[in-house]
Amino acid sequence: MNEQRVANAITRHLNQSTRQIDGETLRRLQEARSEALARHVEHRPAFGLAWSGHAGAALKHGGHPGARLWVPFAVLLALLFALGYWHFSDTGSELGEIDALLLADDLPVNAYLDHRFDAWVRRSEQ
Amino acid sequence: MGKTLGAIILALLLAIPGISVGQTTKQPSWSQLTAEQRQVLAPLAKQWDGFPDRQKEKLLVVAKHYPKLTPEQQARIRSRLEEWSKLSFADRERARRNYQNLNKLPPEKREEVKQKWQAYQQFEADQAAPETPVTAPPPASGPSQPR
Repeated sequence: MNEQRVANAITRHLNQSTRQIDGETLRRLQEARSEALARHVEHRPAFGLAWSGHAGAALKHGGHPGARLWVPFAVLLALLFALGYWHFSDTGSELGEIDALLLADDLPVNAYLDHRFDAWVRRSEQ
Repeated sequence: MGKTLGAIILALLLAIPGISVGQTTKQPSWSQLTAEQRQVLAPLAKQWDGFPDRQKEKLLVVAKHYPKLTPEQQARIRSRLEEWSKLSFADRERARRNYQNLNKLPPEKREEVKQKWQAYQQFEADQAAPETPVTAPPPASGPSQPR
């Protein structure tokens, strides 16, 4: 109960003192508050980049224990994905071009499949 | 954050095997082909709709190259398409590999192999004929000579 009275007395005293602050000091205090609030807002990351920003910071400062592992892992996976997509989307076209040339060739398809011909050519070269 | 990352990694892991088994975009049915494509691929009209998409994709590339070829080459393609489409996947792969290997050879060597094919055909025909058994091996190189 005694503590409550002391707290009320301090509050009253502070309020009275605040009212006595001159205009210039009040203006500077107000500016400092606005600046502090602005900085606080700037440090809050945007939604989309939130995790990458944290990851970068974690990598830089070594703050997040798993970040050093999962960021390169995620980059590697993304690269594998891109490479795989590029390779397999192009394969059908490449093979089709080979097929066109093979089917138009003056040697028949059988020649490229005949094991005995292959062996015969090798034998005749010896 | 952890959940988002987990979802990304899971999506990538699921997508990579999907690619590696050779998924391809949906290819047109026979009725969806252009008149030019149908003309080139006419020998495959009956089988076309039953082909896997990856096979259709390659055949459509063949049809695309077709107009750039000589009439003789075009005739070869048309006569070989059906036989080609009946081959197993492994056989088609082997034929492509052998074709590419042959084309890595210098032109004179390639020509020599082609001449040997003619000689080999003659040799096979002679071997198959019962009244004219052939015991001697064919010439080692050079164009086939009528026997």
